[in-house]
Amino acid sequence: MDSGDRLKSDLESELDKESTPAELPRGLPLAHLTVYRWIEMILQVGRLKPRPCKYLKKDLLYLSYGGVFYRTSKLQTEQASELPVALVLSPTVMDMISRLFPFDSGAVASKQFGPEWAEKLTGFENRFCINTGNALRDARRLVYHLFETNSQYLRGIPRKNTHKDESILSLLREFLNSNLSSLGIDHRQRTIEAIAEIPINLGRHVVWIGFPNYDTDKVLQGLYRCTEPDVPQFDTYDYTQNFNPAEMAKLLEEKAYESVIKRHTRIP
Amino acid sequence: MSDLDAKFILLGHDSPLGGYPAIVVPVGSMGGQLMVSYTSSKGPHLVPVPNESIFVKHSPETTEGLSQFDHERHGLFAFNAQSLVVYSLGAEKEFFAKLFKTEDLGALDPFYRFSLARKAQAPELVARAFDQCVQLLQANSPQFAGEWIRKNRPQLPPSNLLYAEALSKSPTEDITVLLHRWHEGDQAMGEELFRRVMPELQRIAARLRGRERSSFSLQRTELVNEIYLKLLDANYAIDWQDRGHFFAIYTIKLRRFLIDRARAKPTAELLSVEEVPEGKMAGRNRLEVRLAVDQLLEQMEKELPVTCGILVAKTYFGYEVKEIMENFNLSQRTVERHLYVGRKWLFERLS
Repeated sequence: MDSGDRLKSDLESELDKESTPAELPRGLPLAHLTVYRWIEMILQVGRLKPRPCKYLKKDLLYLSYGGVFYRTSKLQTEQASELPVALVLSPTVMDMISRLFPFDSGAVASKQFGPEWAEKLTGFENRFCINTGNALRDARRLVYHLFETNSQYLRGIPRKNTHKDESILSLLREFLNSNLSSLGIDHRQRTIEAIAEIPINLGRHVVWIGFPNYDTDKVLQGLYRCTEPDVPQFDTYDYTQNFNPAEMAKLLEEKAYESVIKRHTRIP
Repeated sequence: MSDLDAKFILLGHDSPLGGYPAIVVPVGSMGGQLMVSYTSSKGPHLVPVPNESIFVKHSPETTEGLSQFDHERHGLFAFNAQSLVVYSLGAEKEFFAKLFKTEDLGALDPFYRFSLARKAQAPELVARAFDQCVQLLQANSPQFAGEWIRKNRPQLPPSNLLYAEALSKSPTEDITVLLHRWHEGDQAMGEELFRRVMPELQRIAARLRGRERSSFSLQRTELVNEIYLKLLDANYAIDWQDRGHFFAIYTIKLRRFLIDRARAKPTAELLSVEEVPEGKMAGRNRLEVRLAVDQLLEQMEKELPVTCGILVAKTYFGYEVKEIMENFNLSQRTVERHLYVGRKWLFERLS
């Protein structure tokens, strides 16, 4: 079913009614967080593949729009521990995205935003999902209506919810403006999540990789096999303690921002 | 839950790097829940993981050998699946330094060796591992070698690196050419540049030692190391124009380093205000004027970097105009013009 004949979600319908300026915030890169144990295999096949999602019951590939915002101390593998690897992909990868959420859908599904918001966001799969054939435009629309600018989005500063009403946008703004720090909530509350249902080739899209400083020459060799003749940027981090993966992911977020994301925010 | 249930019992470990030797994550049980022990900026903490998670279970012998392990105080380093040692959290530097003295780290990945040597703050080991990493990168992924070197270069002058001798044999070229090639990523040109300017850096160090007060002890090596690091930093950000621009920037960087040192020692009297006309003091004491001058120079550095460098060289480092002419490759008239413009700019804003 394409976007022409399917039923639109509440959020899609409301966005369509909102007036949208001709000049939306620029498109931002997408980030994907994976684990060091898998990186050799990923680089060998040269693509990121969708994996089974226990909430949406489909094979899906999750990415975050604009930065490495995903945080968890338990990365989604069967191992007891993992070290994160972050990949940043150019905005052109948005062509492969079929669905957007204005928050981390996994965190909503697992009720990490607390019981009150679990209740208010009930049925989020249908109410807040944007099924899209133009993800780049829709992500930029979300940034505009929820944060106004890329800079505010990246800093996690939402628009104020000045006109409280029953609308879904008003509810979203209220959610984004809620202080959930007592629940240990991080940037995921204010992240635009992008979902692909097909594999994404790294070669055409990867612009940056961050990984632990281990077998570095081989990781980079594998990366170049995928991206040749392009030479993506990279950063490494030292693994000298049994660090919590969530902290390593935060470090990767900062490095990715400094290396590649920041310059997208400066484009007029 | 009884006290016994609430105790973390070490069952095994997981190596997130997927190999050994390596730091590993302790895995244990607490009240029937599988837990992993992590370290963060807030200290050690336990995180629950699904009970079916995969990890390496310790044999009875290994468990016995690790009986002193306490997740709040200790980490684990594994040579292989069943050969592990306990180290104290927060004492990694000492632990790795000691570990490197043993023969057990032969199989260590060179990049990981580099990370651990950095943590151990062992300069010779760092330099050796760095060389090894560079060789591997140049052989397997040369496209990335320059970038990796730039980001990971040991923070030491090249005289401390094993390959310094080879690099010092680089062809001699004009400083401006060296600057451009260094900025474009040619590390050997950076080494050559540093070798060329070293005599001048040492002269500055000697000059400063002559001027310093008793409360401001500055070692020549420390100063030279510091300037080298500042130049490395500057190289990433600055598109060098010529020799004069280069000397202006290093003069400014050096001043900033010395001011930071002086601030750390309030009794030090480094910041001369002798040149500030009495009328510009505007009822402020010497310390207030020093701070104001300091702030203004930072502003001038952004607006007029070469002028600022020349003014700093003259005012702070006691250069004669002739010496500035040589170092900045400028005529006497131009140097004097820069000094005039710099003083005017500064004093106008001081008022």
